[in-house]
Amino acid sequence: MSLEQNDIDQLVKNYREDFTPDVEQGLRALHGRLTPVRRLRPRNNGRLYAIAAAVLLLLTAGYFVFADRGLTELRNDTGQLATYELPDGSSVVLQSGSVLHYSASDFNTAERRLTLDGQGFFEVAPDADRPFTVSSAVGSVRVTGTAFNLRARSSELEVEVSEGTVLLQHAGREMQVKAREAALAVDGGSMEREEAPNLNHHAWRTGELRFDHTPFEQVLVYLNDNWGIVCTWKDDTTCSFPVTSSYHTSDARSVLEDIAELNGVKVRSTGTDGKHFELTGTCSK
Amino acid sequence: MTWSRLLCTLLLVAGSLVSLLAQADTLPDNFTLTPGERPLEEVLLELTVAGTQLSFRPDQVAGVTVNVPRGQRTAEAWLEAVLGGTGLTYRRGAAGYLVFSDTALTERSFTLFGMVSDRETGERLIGATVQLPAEARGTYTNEYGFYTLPVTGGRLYARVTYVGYLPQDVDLLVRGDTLLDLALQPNRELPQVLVTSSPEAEGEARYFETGTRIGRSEVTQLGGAAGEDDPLQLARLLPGVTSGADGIGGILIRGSEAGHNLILLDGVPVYGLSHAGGLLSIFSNQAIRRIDLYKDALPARFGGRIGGVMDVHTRDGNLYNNELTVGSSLLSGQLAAEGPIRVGESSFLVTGRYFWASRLLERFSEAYKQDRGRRGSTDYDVYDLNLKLNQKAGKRGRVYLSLYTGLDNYQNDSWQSQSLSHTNEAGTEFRYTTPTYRSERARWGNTVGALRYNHVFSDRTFGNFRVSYSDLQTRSAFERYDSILEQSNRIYEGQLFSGMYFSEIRQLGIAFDGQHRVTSSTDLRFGAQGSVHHFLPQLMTSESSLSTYERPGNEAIQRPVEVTPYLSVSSKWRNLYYRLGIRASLWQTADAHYFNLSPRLLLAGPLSPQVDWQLSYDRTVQSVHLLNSFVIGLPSDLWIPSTEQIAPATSPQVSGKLTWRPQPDWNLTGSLYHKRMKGLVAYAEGRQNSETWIDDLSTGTGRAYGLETSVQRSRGRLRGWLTYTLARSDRTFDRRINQGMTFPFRYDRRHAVNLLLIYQLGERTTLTGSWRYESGLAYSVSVATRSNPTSEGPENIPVVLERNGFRMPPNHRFDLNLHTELSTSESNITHAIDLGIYNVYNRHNPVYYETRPVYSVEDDAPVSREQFYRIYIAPILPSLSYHLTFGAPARPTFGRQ
Repeated sequence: MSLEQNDIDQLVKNYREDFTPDVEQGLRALHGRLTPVRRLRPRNNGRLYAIAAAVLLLLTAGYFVFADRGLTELRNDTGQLATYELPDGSSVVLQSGSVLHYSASDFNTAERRLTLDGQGFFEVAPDADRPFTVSSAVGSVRVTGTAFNLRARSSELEVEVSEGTVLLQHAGREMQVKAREAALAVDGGSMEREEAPNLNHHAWRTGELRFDHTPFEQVLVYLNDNWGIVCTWKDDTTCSFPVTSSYHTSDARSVLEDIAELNGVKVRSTGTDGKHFELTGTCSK
Repeated sequence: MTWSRLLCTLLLVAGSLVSLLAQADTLPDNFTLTPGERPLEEVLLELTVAGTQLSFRPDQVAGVTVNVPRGQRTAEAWLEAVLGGTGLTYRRGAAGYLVFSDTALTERSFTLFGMVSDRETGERLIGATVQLPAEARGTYTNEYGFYTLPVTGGRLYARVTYVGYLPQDVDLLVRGDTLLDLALQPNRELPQVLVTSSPEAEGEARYFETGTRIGRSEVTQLGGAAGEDDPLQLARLLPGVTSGADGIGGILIRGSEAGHNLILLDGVPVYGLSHAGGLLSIFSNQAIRRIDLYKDALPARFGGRIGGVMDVHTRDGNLYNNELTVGSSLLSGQLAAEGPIRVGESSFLVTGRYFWASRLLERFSEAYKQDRGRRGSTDYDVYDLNLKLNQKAGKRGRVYLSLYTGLDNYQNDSWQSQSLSHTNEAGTEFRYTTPTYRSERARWGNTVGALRYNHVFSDRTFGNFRVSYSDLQTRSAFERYDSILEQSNRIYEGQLFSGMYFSEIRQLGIAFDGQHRVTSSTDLRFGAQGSVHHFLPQLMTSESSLSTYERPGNEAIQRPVEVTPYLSVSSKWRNLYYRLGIRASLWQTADAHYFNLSPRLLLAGPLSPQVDWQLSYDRTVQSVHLLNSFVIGLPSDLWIPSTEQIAPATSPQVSGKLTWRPQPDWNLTGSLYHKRMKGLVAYAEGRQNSETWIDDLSTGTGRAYGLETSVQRSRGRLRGWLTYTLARSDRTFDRRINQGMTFPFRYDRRHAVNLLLIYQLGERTTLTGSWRYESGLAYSVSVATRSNPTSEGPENIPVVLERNGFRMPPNHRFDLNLHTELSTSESNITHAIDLGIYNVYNRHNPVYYETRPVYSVEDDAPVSREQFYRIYIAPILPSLSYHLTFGAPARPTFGRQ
C-alpha cells in the first residue's frame, strides 16, 4: 500500500506544481511506474491502453519474485513497460524483454548490486553508504543516488544520465558520466562519452525524441537503441542528411517513416515483428 | 487511503484522459510565437518547444528568414503562415509535421506575369527587362508594360531593369502561376545613360527588339528649333533617317518616301506628322512616353506602309500625384497637366501647345517684306492638344482613351510691283509697272482618337482591343500672277495661275492584338485589324482666281475597306533566334479588290559573346498612296487610295546587321539593306488638270540600298554617337516621267554623317551638340524655257532636262543646347531651362529654289527673266525654353522615358 501511496503522492505533487504541461509528463511517469503484469492485455491502441493504464493505477501494483538460488529476477515480458520497486526504495522501469537480477538476501545490506540484461531506467534512492551498482557482461555502472538509463547488451553497455553522476566501469577503467551525458562501453575496451542534451536514450520510456542537426544514421541508432528498430540499406547504398525533429511518441516506426521521407528515403517493413526495415533511396540534395 | 487522495487520483486520471483525447487530435491549441523577422530554423524550434511534433532538414532551412506575424495560431496555421514565401512546404506525416523543400515544385513549370510600372507615376514601362540571373534568360515588357515569363516552381530570384531606373531584385516563391506587378524607382543618382538606340534589352530579348528607341530624355537634352523639343529631331540623327533641310519634307527612312512611313500614335495610323511642313512634329515631348523606330525586321503587327515604322506611345499620366507644367519656347506656349482621378486606378494627362509666335511672325514678315519692296504678310497658326485617360478595369484590365488633335493654318501673301521706264527712239517715254502677286494658303489638321482595352487573359495570354479614328484634312491653295502693265496705253499682259489641293481622309478601325507565350522560348503574336476609309482627294488647277473654285462634290468619295490579319511566331533553335511572321491584307474598294501577303522573317543570334548578327526579310504592302507635289515648293500632300487603276505598292527589303559591343558602354553597328519598291505613284509630268489628274498618274518602281554604320557610347560623362550612311535611292517611272529613265530620288542622300554629343556638366545639366551633314537634295531645275505652243497654260514652259538632275549644295548644320533642371529638395517645383543655338554657323540650307521673273528693259522692250531664289528657312537662331513644373518631386528626366 505504501508503494501506491508514494506514487500517488508523487503524482499529486506533480499535479499541484505544474499542472498544464505535466499531465502528459505525469502520465508518462505513470506509464513507467505501472507494473502491468499479466493481467494487462497488450494493446496497440494507445488511447485504450492509456485508459487501461490509468485505471490500473488504482489497482495494486505488484512485482513478482522468482526465487531461484537466492536471486530475485525481475523479468518484463509484457510487451509494455513495467515499473518495479526495489527493496531499497529505488525504482526501475524495465523495457519489455529486459531482465534484472539481484540477490534476495544480500541486496541492500552492504551494497546494492544488480545485473541487467536489456534496458532499464533507474531512479536510485540516495544512500551514500550502500553504493548502487548495475553490472552487465561488459561492465558496470556505480552510483549512489541518481537517475539514469542503462542499456546492457551482450557486447555493449550504454548509460545516459538524467540526474546526478554515475561512474561507468569497464575493462578496469572508470569514466565519470554526468547529467545529460551518455557513455558507451563496447566489449573490447573502448569507452566513449558524449553530450546527451536531449536524453534520446530515454525515449523508449519518455517518448521524447529530439534531434538537432542529427545525422540520419544517428537517428537510426537512437531508434535501434530505444526500440530495437533494425534498418538495413538496400544495395548497400547509404545516405545521410541532418535532421532536426521533435517528437513525443512511442511509435518508432512513424518517426522512422517521417524522417526517412524528409529525404525521399523509402521504408519497407521486412519481417513481421515491426522492427525490421529496409531503406531505399538516393540521397538527393 | 484517505478520501482526499482518492479524489486527487481520480482528478488526475480524468485529466489524463482529457489530455489524451486532446492529444489524439491535431494540436488545436492556439499559441503565439515571437513576432518579427527571424530565421526560419529558430521559428521551427520555437514551434517544437510549444509542443509541435515536426521534422525538417536544417540544411534546407539554412539562411531562410521569415516574418512571423503576431497573434495566436494553431501549429498548422503557423506553418502555413511562416512557410508561405519560402521554398518549403509542410505535410502531416505519420508522427508529426514534415517541413521540406518543395521538390515537386521545382519540377513543375509555372508562369510569372504582370506589369512593370514607374513607382512614382504609375506609368507603365515599355521594354523593361525581367531576368532570371541564375538561368541567364529573361523577357521584356510589351507596349503595355506587360510581361510573361515561364519559370520553374520554387524559390526564384528575378531582376527587373530599365534604363534610368534602379534595378529591382525580387525574391519570391513560385507555387503556381504568379501575377507579379513591379514598380521601379526612378534612378536619380546615375542619370548618365543614353537611352536612344542603346541595345537596351538584355539577354535574349535583344534579338527581337528590332526597333530603335527614341528616348524622351535625349529629346529633352537635344532641344530643338527655337527651344521646341521634338522627338523627330533626334530621330533624324539616326543612320538611315533623313529629311529635307530643317526637317521640311517629313521624315524619310532608308530611301523611302515620307508617305511610306507607318506612323502609329498609340497604335493608330496617323496621316500627318508634321507641323510647319516638317519643321516640327506633332509629337509634343510632354505627351510622349517613347517612340520606337523600325527600319527593318518589322514585326508582323505593323503593316500598311512600305517604309519604316514609328510606333509612338503617349504617356498615361501620373497615377499618384498631380503635376502641372507650364512653359514656353520661343515659338509656343505649353501646358501639361496630369494626375490621378482615383489614386492608383485612373489618371489623366492633358497637354496642349499653342504657337503664339504666329502673331510675331505676322508683324515680322510684314516688315521683312516691306524692306524688300513687297507688301503682304505671313500668318501661321498652329496648335495641338493631347488628352489621355486611363482607368483600371478590374484586376486584369485597363481602359485607355487617347485623343490627339492639331491644326496648322498657314497663309502667305506677297504683292510686289516694280516700275520700269524706257524712252524709245522717238522720245516717248514708256512707263511700266510689273505687279506680281503670290498667295499661298495651307491648312491641315488631323485628329487621332483611340479607345483601347487591354486585358491579361491568363498568365500567358495578353490581349488588346482597340477602336480608333484617324483623320487628316488638308487644303492648300496657291494663286500667283505675274504681269506687266504699260501705264499710258493701259496695255496689260500677264498670267494668272492657281491651284488647289484638297484631301480628306477618315479612317475608322477596330483591332485586336494578342500575345501568347507557348513555351519558355516561343511566343505567338496575332491579331487582326479592320478599317473603313473615307477618301476625298481633289486637285484643281486653273487660270482663274481661286475665288472662282467650287467646293468639291461628294461624288468623288471613295470608301475602301481593309482587313488585315497577322500572325508571328518568335522562338529560338540553339543559338538561332528567329521570328516568322505573315500578314495578309485585303483591300476592297467599290470596283476592285487586292489581296496581298506580307511575309516577315527575322534571324538573329550571337556570333561571339560580343558580336550579334541579324538578318531580315520584310515584305510590306501599302494601299494608300501619298502624292507629293512641289509645285509651289511647299508640300501639298494628297493621299489617294488604291483603286482599279492604281494597285497597292509593295516593297521587299533584305537587310543585315552586325553589332559589336567591345565594352559594355561602347557599341558599333553596321547594317546593309536593299529595298525595292513597286507600284509607286506620282503625278505625271506637266501640268495637272482638274479633271484628269487622277487618271494621269504615273506608276513606277524604286530601289534603295545602302550601308549604315554607327559608333555609340551609351554611358559616361560624354556620350553620344557618330554615324555614317552611304546610300542610294532612285526611281524609275513610265515614259511620262523623265522619259522612263531612272532618276535619283529627291532625298537621295549619298553621304550622311550624324554626330550627337551629350556632355554631362552636372547631375542635372547637360550640354548637347549635334551636327548633321547630308548630300544635297536632288532637284529638278529648269535651266531653259521654251514658249508654249498651245494656248493653254503659261506663255513659257520651263524645261527640265533631267528629273532631279540637279544637286543642291549639301545640307549641314550644328546645333547646341544647354539643358538644366533646378529644384530644391524641399519644394516641389522644378524649373527646366533650355538655352541653345540653332544652326550655330548660320548655314543657309536651301529648302528649294523658287523662280521669279525679273523684269528689265532690253532692246527697247521690257523682258522678263526667270531668276532663281534659294529659299532657306532657318538662319542662326537662338533658342530658349523654360518649363515650370508644380507638384512633382524633383525628378530629372534624364534616362527616363
